[in-house]
Amino acid sequence: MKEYCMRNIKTLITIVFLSVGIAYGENSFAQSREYLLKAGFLEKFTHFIEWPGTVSSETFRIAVIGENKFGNALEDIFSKVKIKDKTAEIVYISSVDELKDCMILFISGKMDNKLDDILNHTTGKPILTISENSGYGKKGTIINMLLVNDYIRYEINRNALSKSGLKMSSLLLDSATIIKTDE
Amino acid sequence: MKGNLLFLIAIIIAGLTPASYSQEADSLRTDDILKMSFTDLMNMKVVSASRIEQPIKDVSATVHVITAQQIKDRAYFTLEEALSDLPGMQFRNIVGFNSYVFMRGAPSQNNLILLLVDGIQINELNSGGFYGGGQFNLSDAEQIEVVYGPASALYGTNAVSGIINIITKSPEEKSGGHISLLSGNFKTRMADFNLKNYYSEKNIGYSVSAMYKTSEKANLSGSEGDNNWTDEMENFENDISLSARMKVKSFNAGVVYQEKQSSMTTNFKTIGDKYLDRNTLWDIAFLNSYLKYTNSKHEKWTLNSMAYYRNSTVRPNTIDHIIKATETNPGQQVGYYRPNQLAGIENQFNYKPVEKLLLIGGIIGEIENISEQFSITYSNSQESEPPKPPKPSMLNNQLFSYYLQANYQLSNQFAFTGGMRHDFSSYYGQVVTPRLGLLYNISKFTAKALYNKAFRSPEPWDYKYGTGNNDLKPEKMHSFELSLSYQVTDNLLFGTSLYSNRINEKLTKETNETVDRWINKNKLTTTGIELYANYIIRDLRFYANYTFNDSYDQDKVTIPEIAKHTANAGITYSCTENIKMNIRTNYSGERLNPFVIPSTGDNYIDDALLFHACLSVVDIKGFDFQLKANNIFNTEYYHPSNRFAGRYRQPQQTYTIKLAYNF
Repeated sequence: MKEYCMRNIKTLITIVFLSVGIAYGENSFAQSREYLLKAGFLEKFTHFIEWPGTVSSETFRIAVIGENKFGNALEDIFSKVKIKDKTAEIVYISSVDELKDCMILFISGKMDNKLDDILNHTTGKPILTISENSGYGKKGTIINMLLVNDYIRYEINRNALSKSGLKMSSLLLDSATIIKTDE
Repeated sequence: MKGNLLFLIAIIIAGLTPASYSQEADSLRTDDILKMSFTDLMNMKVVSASRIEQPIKDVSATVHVITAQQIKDRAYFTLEEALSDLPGMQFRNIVGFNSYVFMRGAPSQNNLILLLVDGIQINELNSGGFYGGGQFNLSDAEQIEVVYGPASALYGTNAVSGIINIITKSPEEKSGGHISLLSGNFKTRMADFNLKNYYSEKNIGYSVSAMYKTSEKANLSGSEGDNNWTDEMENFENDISLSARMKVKSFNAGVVYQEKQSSMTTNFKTIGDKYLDRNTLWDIAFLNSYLKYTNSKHEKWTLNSMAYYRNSTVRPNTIDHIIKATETNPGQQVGYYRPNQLAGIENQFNYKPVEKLLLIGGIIGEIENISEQFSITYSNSQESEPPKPPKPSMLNNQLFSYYLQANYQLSNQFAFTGGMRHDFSSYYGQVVTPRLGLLYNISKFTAKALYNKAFRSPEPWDYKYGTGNNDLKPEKMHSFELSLSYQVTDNLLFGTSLYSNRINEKLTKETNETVDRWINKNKLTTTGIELYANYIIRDLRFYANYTFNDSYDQDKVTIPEIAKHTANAGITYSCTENIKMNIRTNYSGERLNPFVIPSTGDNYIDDALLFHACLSVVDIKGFDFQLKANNIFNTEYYHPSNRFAGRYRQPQQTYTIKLAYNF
């Protein structure tokens, strides 16, 4: 048995090296799963957030600014569910001037040049700003999604949330990294 | 034939060349996303599912997760305390050098449960049992995953009643750290800190943490301790935990060092017996280190390669017991030493050749170098220390294992899981452990029908006990389970699990005038039902669970130490953004003691209902403050003893104050 096991272990070592070698090979990274999950988070967020007053427009407007990496994920998801009993409307915008009546603004990718302008237009208004870049939460977006160990995690900027007038469930807050920025 | 099997595995892996991957759409669909709860979504990996990184509803087992937030809100101090609020958990806390967790009605020396820290086993190598107690740095835990039922088909030996996986906080989380100080009655003190940094541009990060705890845990002297020990008894536990993790792109390296120093007083009854109840020391240290490489960039497959080293050593300054001096005998101190180490490599892959099929496979090789027995030395008197024990004779064991599991989506609602693991050991030969599961998911309802086989291999601790028995075979368990859960809304979850487990060839002590050893003899059957619910309404979080368990042997005789009824409930209320209150309660029904208890004249441990509370003031300019009271009504309650004719008094009212600073 001992000899047998040793033989197997030697074979095993060979396989480990073989596999690790293979693992270094070229590859490409499909992002659809990441953005499908992010679209799922966006839908779940709406369950745990209350917008002040009643939503006056007939639809619940979600805007995406920057490159659309969701594909059709947002349309697919929000065609099957309503938000606060309203049909969701997804709009893709290139400028904050198109933000009219939006309840959620997703800031896609890196937008260092436009972020200040976006925040100037949204801070203090009942617009849930969601970004996905390290440091954007600290700069003032309400929710900032990050990849941690291949899982999606998120930060919440408490001051930005407080200014927006949005009410957020403790379930969201408890699962978040809380950021407090100085006034 | 086995050589051919290895070759086949090599071919499968070699076949996973990058060129063979296309950019097909991910199999995850929007319908799947909409069916998930928020917690499910948090547990979804961005790259692809692996054997443990699936939504709980898709895992072929019942899983409960204790989150970092729960650990903080409830101020859990030990691993057993964290487990005590889960369904199906019972305990034998000897308030000493160890404490024991019984999952789903199977009492043991903690060797029917596999304990992992960041996926690496930390069960003691010589006995196969993990150590309960305070040496786990819970403030550094991201979550504790508790997998119910056998999992030998993936994890091998000891994964019989279940698995507990403590996952520490990742370096990739927000940079920063915390430092905390705790103080309480029974001379309880704790200090801990951690520090993390992550450089996202370079994908490099590190975390370090350290913890020191000390406590006398309870007042057990004289009548307070059921007259098992004298008024001069000594009972302490000092714990050290040090850990470091580093991530460099796809590589992760880590080291965890734990040391537990404890008095051995409660291991023996001293009033009316020959043992002295002070000046003993059990000193055991655990060292785990690993290097992992993960390739998760491919859409269809993931590869995890890992090399690891484990060491668990009863250190040579250990004084196991002291024989009291008498008029005719000077007494003696007895020193113990038992080093053990293991090195291993594991290569695990997940492969999704078609949309409906997920294959999970792995190969493992390990080499153990384990003490044959304790090396023991004796002193000449009660007062003098024994000489340092020499290194004992060592045993070498080689283990080789491979496993393969297939998850196949039969339809939109039904999924099938089938798998097996094959273990070879130079000690106990070979064991095959299969698993089968049928999962049904529709809307918010999940049903799982599961069959698992599991085993616990005998260890030197078993072979060499007493007069010894080299013919011991692994204990084997067959398990059937039906698990149902209904996520009524994102805020409300109901679940239940019905199980029936049978352990065959159970290790049983054979004791007579000439023999004292373990043999494979008895059977243990456990059947039960667990019910649980979680509810969140505004700032209120509520959980409750109830377990009925019936454990009996081959003659239908009730197994001692196991209560038929246990229940737990708790509520956390966020009064404001900065103030939280938590109240918990644990109920354990009456249970049999292995021996007649001298102080009561019978062999029953009374039922007990306990209440605990914690007030937290958090995030005030980075500071957290916690006031916690356990057993707030100072209930007198006991745990069973399998060591001497008596029972173990459990801690009286216990309170702690903790101050932490987060930066």
